Amino acid sequence: MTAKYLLPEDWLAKISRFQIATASKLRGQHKGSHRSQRFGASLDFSDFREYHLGDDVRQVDWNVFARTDKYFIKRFLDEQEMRVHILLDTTKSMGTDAKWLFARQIVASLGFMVLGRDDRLSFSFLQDEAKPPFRRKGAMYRRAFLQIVTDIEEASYSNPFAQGALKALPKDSTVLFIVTDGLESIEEWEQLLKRLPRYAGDVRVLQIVTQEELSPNYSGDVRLLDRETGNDVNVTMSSKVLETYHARRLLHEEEFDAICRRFGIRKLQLKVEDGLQHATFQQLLKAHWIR
Amino acid sequence: MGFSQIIFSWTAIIPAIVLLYYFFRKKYTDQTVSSTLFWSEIMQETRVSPYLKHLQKNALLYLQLLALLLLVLSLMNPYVKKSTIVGAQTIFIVDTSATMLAGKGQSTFDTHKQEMLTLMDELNGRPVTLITTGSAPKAVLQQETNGKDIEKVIKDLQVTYETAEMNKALDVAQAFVGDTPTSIYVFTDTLDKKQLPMDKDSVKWLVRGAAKDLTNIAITRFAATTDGQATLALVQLHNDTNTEQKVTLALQNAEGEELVAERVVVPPNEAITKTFKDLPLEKSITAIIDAQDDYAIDNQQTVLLQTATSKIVVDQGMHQLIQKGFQSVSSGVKIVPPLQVADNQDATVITNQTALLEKMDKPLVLFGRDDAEKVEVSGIVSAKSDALFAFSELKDIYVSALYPGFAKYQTIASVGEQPFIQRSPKGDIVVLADIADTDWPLHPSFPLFLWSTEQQLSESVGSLGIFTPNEQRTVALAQGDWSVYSQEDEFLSSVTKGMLTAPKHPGIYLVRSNNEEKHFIVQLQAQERVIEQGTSYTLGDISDNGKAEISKASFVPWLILIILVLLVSEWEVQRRRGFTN
Repeated sequence: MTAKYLLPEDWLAKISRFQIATASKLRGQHKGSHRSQRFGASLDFSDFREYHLGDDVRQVDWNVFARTDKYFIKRFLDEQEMRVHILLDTTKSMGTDAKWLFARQIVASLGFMVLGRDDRLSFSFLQDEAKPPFRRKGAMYRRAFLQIVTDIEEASYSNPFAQGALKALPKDSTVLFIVTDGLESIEEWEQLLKRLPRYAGDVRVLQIVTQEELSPNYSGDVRLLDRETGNDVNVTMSSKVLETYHARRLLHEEEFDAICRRFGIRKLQLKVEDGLQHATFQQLLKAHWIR
Repeated sequence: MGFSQIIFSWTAIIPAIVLLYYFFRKKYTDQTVSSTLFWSEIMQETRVSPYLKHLQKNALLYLQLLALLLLVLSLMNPYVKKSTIVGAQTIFIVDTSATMLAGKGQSTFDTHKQEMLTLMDELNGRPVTLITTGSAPKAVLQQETNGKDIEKVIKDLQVTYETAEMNKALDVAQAFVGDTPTSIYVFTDTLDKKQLPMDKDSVKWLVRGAAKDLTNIAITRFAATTDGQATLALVQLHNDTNTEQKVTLALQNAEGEELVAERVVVPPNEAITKTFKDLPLEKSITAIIDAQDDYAIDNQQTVLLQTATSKIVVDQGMHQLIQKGFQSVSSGVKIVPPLQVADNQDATVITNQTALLEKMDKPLVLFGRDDAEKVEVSGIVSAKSDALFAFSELKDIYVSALYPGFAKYQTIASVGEQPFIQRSPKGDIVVLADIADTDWPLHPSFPLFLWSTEQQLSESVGSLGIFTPNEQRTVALAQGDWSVYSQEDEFLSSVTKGMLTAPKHPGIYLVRSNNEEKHFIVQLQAQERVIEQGTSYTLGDISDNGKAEISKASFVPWLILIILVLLVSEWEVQRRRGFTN
């Protein structure tokens, strides 16, 4: 049964040690395993504070009063849950075999970490008919989540991702992961990204790229078919054309990065060929996206 | 255009092979990519229009095909036949008459000069003979081969205002032809095909005429007479155009002051006559019309007026009708008995005494001869164009008997073949018939003829009369050095041995000696006041044995140049696409 999952068992064990790291202050209402910056009712002691009128009398530390003859209130740290949403780009451009598998593995890994830490995970992807998103809390739902991600067999959404993304987002996330390939025009991305901060405190874009996209090695006369739109472009490959492609792609990256910076969105580019291990332990960890 | 190497057309198969090869060339291989976002942006610049895109995609093919086709074409050696001058020699006959000055903007004469200069380039060293027309045609160039000399002569050609006597010029040209194949270019305004001598088949005639749509309004006749107190003027205007023309006709005196002006409407293709009475007495009168036509020189004409009334002496032996006739046209007429006629040296004498022709210094009018017997004649009276007949047409006159004519005198009217009216070199007018033998007095032309005679003979007292441009005529002048001056006192020529050569430009001129001064007028001839439609045509062709030269201008050097350019652009297209993909 496990063989059918996207991720092998030993991998699941490895990543269960990690959790999502965030500096976002936005928290859920439910109690969770993440320390809140507010004071609350956990078992961890925080500090003392002088009693003022209006404070709860039950919180007065009578032992301290006995020694100092002053009223002190004893405060504890609060622990709250983190709400993480993962949005997977399921447009057809994601549909290349290696890329699609990698994207889902990343999604599954992230979700596994969230659920394993007793946080609330919601997961949605773009689909033509609207379905309620996956929304669960607790380690017991890890397998179910894994199953759901595994079951998305192909990327079949045919409309532009950036236009449909907002519909699939909940509004109360602490951390929002967007797993996409970013292959849409800058103008559309700008429209999407400038609205995202309203949906979540900490928005992170994971851009999945392949070696083929980074530096294509086509030669001769090639008719390039767009997987997503079906458009075709006849290109006679030459070093000059490829150079232009590189320059054009780099420009797109730069503009994308610039927009992300402008709206306070973090972005990470993961290359399929580097592998899941590299992506997780080198890139995500180094970027302090997980700890 | 033709091909001298049509056999090479088989090479057309080579471009066909390239075309076939193109059909079987490698096609685009399909490649699915995640997104063509960047690719289409790269290709955006090339996507101007589908045709241009197609052209760009197949630029190499088209360039190659074009280059190969041109190569095939150049192998077949295409050429154009150039219209070059044929024949071993060339003769230019240049009409220098006044009507050549007509023309829209540029005169016909200047246009023809330019055409001659362009023809120079095609001569290829053939000798050129250039003949100008006139009463005495001149061969300005004779078998000349030096290009610079020819060019200079052509550039120096000028209109002489003389009537083009084309037949004489054609005769001169014929003399140069001989047996050599010749192209003769006739530069004139209009020339009837029938006038060209077509007896030699080694001659090619190329007639270059004037433009077809020239407009002209002319003063065809202008006469003025005076009785000592007032002047009577007669002007005839002719409209050569097909539309009604409105012009202002003005008469001016010698100082340029306007005597009278009138707005005149001339119907299309018709002539109208205007008379002006009671004009002030002037030395000369000039008639001017302000017509905006293509021929300006005939819009002005000048006459001289005789201020002193002349004396006329009529022989008493003359017919009563002649005596009465002269009395009616002139006031100072004396009837004198025949023996006393010779005493009136200063008057104009009308007589039938032939002996007086020698005795009298002044020209006289002779009606009949008293020294010869008249002979019966029959035939139609015909007159030459002469100033005497300007107002009187000698038509339908019956003449039954004539005296024999004078051999050396110029015949200006004749009955059948017999001379009827003659003019002596001195200016005497001789009518070789008795008035009783004709019905002339019954015709209106008779008094007009008498008037014309009186005018002409009395004019020659203070003036030398009317000359045509460049006309050479013996004039009755006293001994001494006579010179011709223009009205601006510019010396023009001198009179040698009584022979006066008229200036070529129409106008009033002076002949002056130390103590005497006489006027004369240079006037265009009547046929130079009419513009006919121009004609251009080519007649005759030189047969092959006259080593007619066909010059073929080959295209090949140009084709090779284009092919080279094509190859360079092919190289450029290939370079831009990149040799390694």
